[in-house]
Amino acid sequence: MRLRTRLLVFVSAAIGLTVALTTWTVSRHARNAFRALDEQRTRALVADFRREFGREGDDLFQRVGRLAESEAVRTIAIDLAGPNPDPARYVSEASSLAASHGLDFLEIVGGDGAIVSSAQWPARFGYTHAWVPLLTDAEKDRAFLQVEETPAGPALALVAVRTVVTGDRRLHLAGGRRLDQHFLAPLSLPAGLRALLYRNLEPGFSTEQLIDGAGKVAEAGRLEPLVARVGLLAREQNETVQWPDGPETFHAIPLTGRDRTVLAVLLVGSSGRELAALVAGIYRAGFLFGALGIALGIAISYAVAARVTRPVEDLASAAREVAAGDWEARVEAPARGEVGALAEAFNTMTAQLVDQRERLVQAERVAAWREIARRLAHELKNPLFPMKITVENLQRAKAQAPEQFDEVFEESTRTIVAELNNLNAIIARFGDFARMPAPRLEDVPLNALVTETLKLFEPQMAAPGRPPVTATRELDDHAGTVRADPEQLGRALRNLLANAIDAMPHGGRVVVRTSRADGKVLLQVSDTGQGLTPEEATRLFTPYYTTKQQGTGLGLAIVQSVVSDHRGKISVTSDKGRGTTFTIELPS
Amino acid sequence: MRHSRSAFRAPARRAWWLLAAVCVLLAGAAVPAAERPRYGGTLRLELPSSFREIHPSATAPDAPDAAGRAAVLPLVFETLVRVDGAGGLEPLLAESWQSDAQEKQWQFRLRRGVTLHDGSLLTASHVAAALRQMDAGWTVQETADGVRIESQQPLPGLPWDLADERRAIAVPAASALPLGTGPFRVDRWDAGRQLVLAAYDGYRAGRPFVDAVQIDTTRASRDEVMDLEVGRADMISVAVPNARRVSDRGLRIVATPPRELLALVFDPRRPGGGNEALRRALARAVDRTAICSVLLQRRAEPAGALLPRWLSGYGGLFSPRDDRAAARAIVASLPPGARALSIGFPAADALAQAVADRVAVDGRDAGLSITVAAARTPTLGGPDAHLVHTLLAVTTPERALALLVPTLGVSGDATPAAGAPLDAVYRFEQSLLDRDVVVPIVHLPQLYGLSARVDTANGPLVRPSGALNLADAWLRTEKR
Repeated sequence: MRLRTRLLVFVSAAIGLTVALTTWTVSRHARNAFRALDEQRTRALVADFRREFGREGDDLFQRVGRLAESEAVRTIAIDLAGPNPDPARYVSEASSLAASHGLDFLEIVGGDGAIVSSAQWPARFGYTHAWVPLLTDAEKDRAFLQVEETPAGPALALVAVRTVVTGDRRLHLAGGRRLDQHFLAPLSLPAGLRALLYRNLEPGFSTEQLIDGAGKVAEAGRLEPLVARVGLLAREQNETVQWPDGPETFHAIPLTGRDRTVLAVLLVGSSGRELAALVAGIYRAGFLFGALGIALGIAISYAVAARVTRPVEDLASAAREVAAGDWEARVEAPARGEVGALAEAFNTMTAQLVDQRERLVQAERVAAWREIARRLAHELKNPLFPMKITVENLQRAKAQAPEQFDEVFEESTRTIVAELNNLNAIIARFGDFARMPAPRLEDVPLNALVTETLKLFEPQMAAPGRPPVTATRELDDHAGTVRADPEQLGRALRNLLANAIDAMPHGGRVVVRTSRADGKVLLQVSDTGQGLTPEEATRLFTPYYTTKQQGTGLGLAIVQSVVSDHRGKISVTSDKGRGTTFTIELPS
Repeated sequence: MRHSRSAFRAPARRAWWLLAAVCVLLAGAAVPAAERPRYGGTLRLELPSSFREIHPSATAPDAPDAAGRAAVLPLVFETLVRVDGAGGLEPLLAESWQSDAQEKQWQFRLRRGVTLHDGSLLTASHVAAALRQMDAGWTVQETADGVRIESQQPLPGLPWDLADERRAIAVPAASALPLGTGPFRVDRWDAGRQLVLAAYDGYRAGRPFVDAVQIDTTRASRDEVMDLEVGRADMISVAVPNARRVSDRGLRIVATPPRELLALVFDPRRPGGGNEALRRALARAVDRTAICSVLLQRRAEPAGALLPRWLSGYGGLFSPRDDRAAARAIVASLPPGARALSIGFPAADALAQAVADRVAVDGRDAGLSITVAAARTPTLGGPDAHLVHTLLAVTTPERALALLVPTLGVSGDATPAAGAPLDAVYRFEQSLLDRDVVVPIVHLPQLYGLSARVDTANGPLVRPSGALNLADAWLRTEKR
């Protein structure tokens, strides 16, 4: 991954992570703050409801009390306490009394519990409310929740019972107010809060019984589990309900009747929609600012990276050029900074490299000339010395034994001619090396070349009086052809085979292998000769270097030159005393 | 066979009317003897009837409306004969009547000198034309002194049929309203709101005492009582539950004999109505005594039969079968899913609603689940049972039953024919009630509250048929 890319990724990740952490932290704090606020508001609303409930109860208690003390009720009580009472006279009284005193429910109940008159269900006259005469004093001192039967079904009511005593007769008034949406309407509901009332009037859950200040509640069925749990446990419960438009947390409070049964459940719903909206807003802002930050970061980092990485990339490019051999490569150094220093250092380095290369070339050139001079001197010295001796012998014979001069002359001239021929041969080899022509490339079947070349050496390897050398071919059928000059490649192979045979004066085995792999063609020549030292191996391809007593040191240099001209490589591995392997690697 | 006065008298009816006459006499005794009837004044009457159509044969939408029409229209339109105070028949437009032996031909001799409200004489052709409209099976011919009615089938007791106020003679006129011969004529009519009757000076029995009768039909029952209390009305119809309130204010109440029936009629096509055990349970669960004594303030009679005892004479054989324990036992034997029942009652009939509510309470006490709602007449898909509030025809038992059964909407054996013996009527009713498809609840009278101004110079203010006798009513002078 490029530095610029890494820089962009790093900057983007840093900005994104920072924004994400900020968003998460803010949303978490917002949640906690909302939760605390919700709890506070819920408690306030519950307290408000309890106050309203208590106030309504007190008001109802007072109202029923005033009714009990009214002239109309006193008259009824006195009449019913007299001889031959006729409750039928008052069968319709409850309705008018309830209407005049603002009561939703009113029943006039005799001392025995029989209903004299019922406002909520006039037809129930004569039936008995057994619980009314059995109320304790404490229960008579306050209003309580009660399920009232009506023709339309049971209704939840806040009921107060007052008793009118006439002589030894009692007349009870059970007045009540219906707990419906009108009861919830006065509650001051903060935004996001709502108060629901479930009237537990039926054996199972009924959506009809769940109301708020406006009436029936939509999708009431979702609250069934919570209501059922509160009804079962008679304890406050909390639950979060997922609505289509967001979550809502309900705090459910059981409302019990005289016998502690749960007659209603107050549900204070705290909408999580605002919180969800806030958190969503925070997330949106986070995403927005994150995106903006990342975009800005990308832009800035791109600009910064451009300033930083362009010189680095130039450096890398220059380095690649240097590696490719262009030692003249230079980078434009920024005015200041580390990258500028690096670029200056690079330029200095390449300049020094060029300088050193020049010096090295000059030194090598000098060394080469010295070597050539030494080799020439050595090569020329060898024939010249016998020629000098022969000439001196010829001079000595003429002076000391003229009778033998002819004979000596004859022999000396033969020797001088032989040495001159030798000098010619030496000069010819130097000429060949100097005249190495450019290869003429064609498709050359490698295995055939190997086979033909080996045939040339069979007589030499099997020459009488010489320890035998065996040749083995390990040729890869897939070696195929190579683009090569067959004359030059054959010459290189011949040199390698000649070296191999020379390296095995006591006989041995030479193996020639071909193979093709990874887009390259390999040609190996191995011998089982005495091998090379590491130093010999490293200098082996240097022109005029030889390990043999008789040799110009140009054979392997020519081989290397041929291989190089074919854009190939040659390498040598040797194990001293066990043999040497030359490997030519040619492009396929 | 010749009849001048009613030959049809029933001991039970006679006893009732004697009692009513005594009441009226006692009421009259309260009037200072020195005060004599006086002419003049407008009697303000408040009724729940709508009077959307002024014609005797018009169909009333419900029992209160029918009762109002039966009370008022006879003041305008008269029948050939009418039921007298003793439960028999007395001449009205017809002076006498007679039939042949097979009772296929009836001859009515018309009263002479009867004038219509436009002053013209009532002729036989007027009567014949009106009679022809009543029954297509009749062949009505004018005779020298009256009309003759012939039929292929015997018409036993035809005069009883003609005593029905719906058989009153109405003569078409150029104006929108037909002409009658009664003591009052229609003076103003605001359909559904007010009907004003003016005294007809040319009435053959003499001009009524009051100048006019103003009938308001828009007042609610409770408001009617208040109007009577504060003197804004002279006479009102009193719903039975309000009777106590009226009497407690020291105001007088006059009543007809029980002539309304409240009965529960099951629809056998409905799941609840078709369950005989459920029907039987509810029939026994209803506490008729409590309904009569408390809800209806002892003004009604528990009904064991369809026809009230005074009308049929055999009512004692059908004692109400109130038995809560038996009802609970029957309900307990029913599967829980078969304990539900719906009851409908006539819309805007508060009395029927109150009784239906009580029936539901009693049924619920027995273990039934009953819902009550206003409903129209029995229809497919309606409630399991209807609380029917119907007006009984005050003629003969078989005629009353024959007119009643269709209003109940029950099917079964053919109703006894006119003139059928009483035991046949009894057996028919018994067969009807044995299946508990029809469960009588109560019989109700029609009550009228009277202010202190109203008095009568001759006879009761309310006739046995329910018709008001306002021709004899007069108004006292207000004391200052």
